[in-house]
Amino acid sequence: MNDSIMIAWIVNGLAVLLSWAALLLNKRSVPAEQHEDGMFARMCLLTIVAACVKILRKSIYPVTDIEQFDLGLIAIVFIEDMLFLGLLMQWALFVDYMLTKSMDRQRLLLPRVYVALGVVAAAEGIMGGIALYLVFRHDLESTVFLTLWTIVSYFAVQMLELIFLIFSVRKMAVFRKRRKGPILFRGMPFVIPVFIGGVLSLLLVKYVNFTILCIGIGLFLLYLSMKEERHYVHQETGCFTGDYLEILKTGKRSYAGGLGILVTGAGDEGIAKILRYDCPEGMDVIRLESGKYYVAGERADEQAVAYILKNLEEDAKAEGLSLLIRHDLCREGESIGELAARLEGM
Amino acid sequence: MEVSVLNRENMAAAGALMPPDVAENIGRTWYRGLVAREDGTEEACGVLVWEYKNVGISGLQTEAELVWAAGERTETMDALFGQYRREIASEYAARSFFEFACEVPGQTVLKSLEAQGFSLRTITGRDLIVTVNDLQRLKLHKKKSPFYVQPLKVLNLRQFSNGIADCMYQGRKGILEDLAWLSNKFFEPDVSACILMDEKAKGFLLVHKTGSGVLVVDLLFTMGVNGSRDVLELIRHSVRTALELYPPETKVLLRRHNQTVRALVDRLFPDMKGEEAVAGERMETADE
Repeated sequence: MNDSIMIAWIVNGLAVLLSWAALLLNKRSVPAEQHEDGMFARMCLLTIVAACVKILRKSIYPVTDIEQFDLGLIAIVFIEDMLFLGLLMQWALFVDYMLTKSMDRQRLLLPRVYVALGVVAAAEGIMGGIALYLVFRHDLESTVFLTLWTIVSYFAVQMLELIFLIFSVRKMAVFRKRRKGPILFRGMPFVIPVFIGGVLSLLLVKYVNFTILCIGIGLFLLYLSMKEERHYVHQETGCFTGDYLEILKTGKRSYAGGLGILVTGAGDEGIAKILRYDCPEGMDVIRLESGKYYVAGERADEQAVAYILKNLEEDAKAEGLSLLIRHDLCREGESIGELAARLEGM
Repeated sequence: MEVSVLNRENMAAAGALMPPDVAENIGRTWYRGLVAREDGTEEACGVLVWEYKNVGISGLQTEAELVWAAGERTETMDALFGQYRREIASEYAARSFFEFACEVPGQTVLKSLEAQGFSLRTITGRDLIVTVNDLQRLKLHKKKSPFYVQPLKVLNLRQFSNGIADCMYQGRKGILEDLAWLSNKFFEPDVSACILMDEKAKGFLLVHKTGSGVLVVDLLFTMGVNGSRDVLELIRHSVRTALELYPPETKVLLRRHNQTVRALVDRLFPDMKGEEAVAGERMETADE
């Protein structure tokens, strides 16, 4: 092993350690708001580190032909992939956190990330081992064999990464059960470019790494879709905006049976806080205007509705808020959005 | 024969006719009872206790489940059942049913039930009673529960109420018709468990200790896509705690009140089938 490989090894090794250290840091239980900033800063820093590592490695040990593959290079590429996979997973966790604001869910997802990293690492190791075997055992046809094998193995590993990322992104849907599909769909741009980028970079043979670019494109697409979502989410309270009610009126979003609760009072953020805490999972809280909220949910029995309202009233009292609460079930043919208008008119 | 409503005030007179596990329920929201006395005496000679089911649940008819019946004479039981019919008619109950362990009701009670129009049959009871020692065989206790499974006692009242609201909104009350009216004090604080995530309760395994010391599993509910795994973790937590805190001979009652619970219990205790029981039902008509 020559010096340049050794240096590349060390640089990559350090970068991987950094990446994994960051993963471990996520385990820390810190207040959500601190966590959010810290996590984002860490992600940016690691992305920059990863990019620098890539550039540095390429300047030390440029590989322009697949025939240059040897033990050292396979090891380096393996470590590099681990670094990027670690980063990718961290971004998935970060996006998950941004969507769910759940620290506990972060801690839940972390073991899965480790398992995913372990499986992909093992897959890469096996693929690399077979590639080496092919090089040493089939001297004459090594280029053909190796090229084919590398394409197949890269494809397989990318598929594994894709599966794990879809798995992670799908888990993000937990916080809003009925919106699994759209969230999964929004996560796809984040995943697909990585996959396509990997295959493209391989097919071009030259080690021009599209991965960073593709991750960038993926994140940009994700940003665009999140931006659209922000249109429907009031940033100060975290509740849906009145625009969301328009969707309900069209019937594009429906609830079985339909239960509507209209809450009015003074203290905009206080009401939002109570509603977001007290309304069961599956109910959507919509901010119509300052101090006026509408909660849309599925039809529930009298006892359940009474219990939810009792909790609301008690918590409002504890917070010193006076609330006017009206509720009803949808009538035959009435959408949940139309029920809001009826309750407002009462 | 005088028949009056059974309540916490006059319960002492009927104490000898009821086990403590039944008596402790008098006064709960949907529990009702009647006590019969011979004219001129204070001592009870018959008692009937029932619980209303599905009250205020849209799409379901109110029903009455007899949970206890005792009386030595046919006339006593006839008087009690006559009043019972009037009582449940006022609540618009569409059906009456019961399930008693075979050894529990006396012959007089069984004959009265038949005479009152209940169709009787012998079945494998829905209740499976195991001991804490039996729980050891589950081998669940060897692994520690994850951080998000916590004993019920860690929840404050607001978190508890919030979690219960989630259960009720999903239409899940376990075997507790009056879940909305029960405080967290009703449940065992250590052996009962919850899924606590982001300071909110997202699942419960609620256990109540009866007057005779039997641990009754009242509710098992989880939310989210990891629901089935969380159920296992809740059970694991409760089993571990029960093994730590209760003597091995302590009884644990698992009521297989629906197919899901039955499947779960059958899976946990495949070699235990439950005792024989006598069950019966009667459709109630508005004009009677």
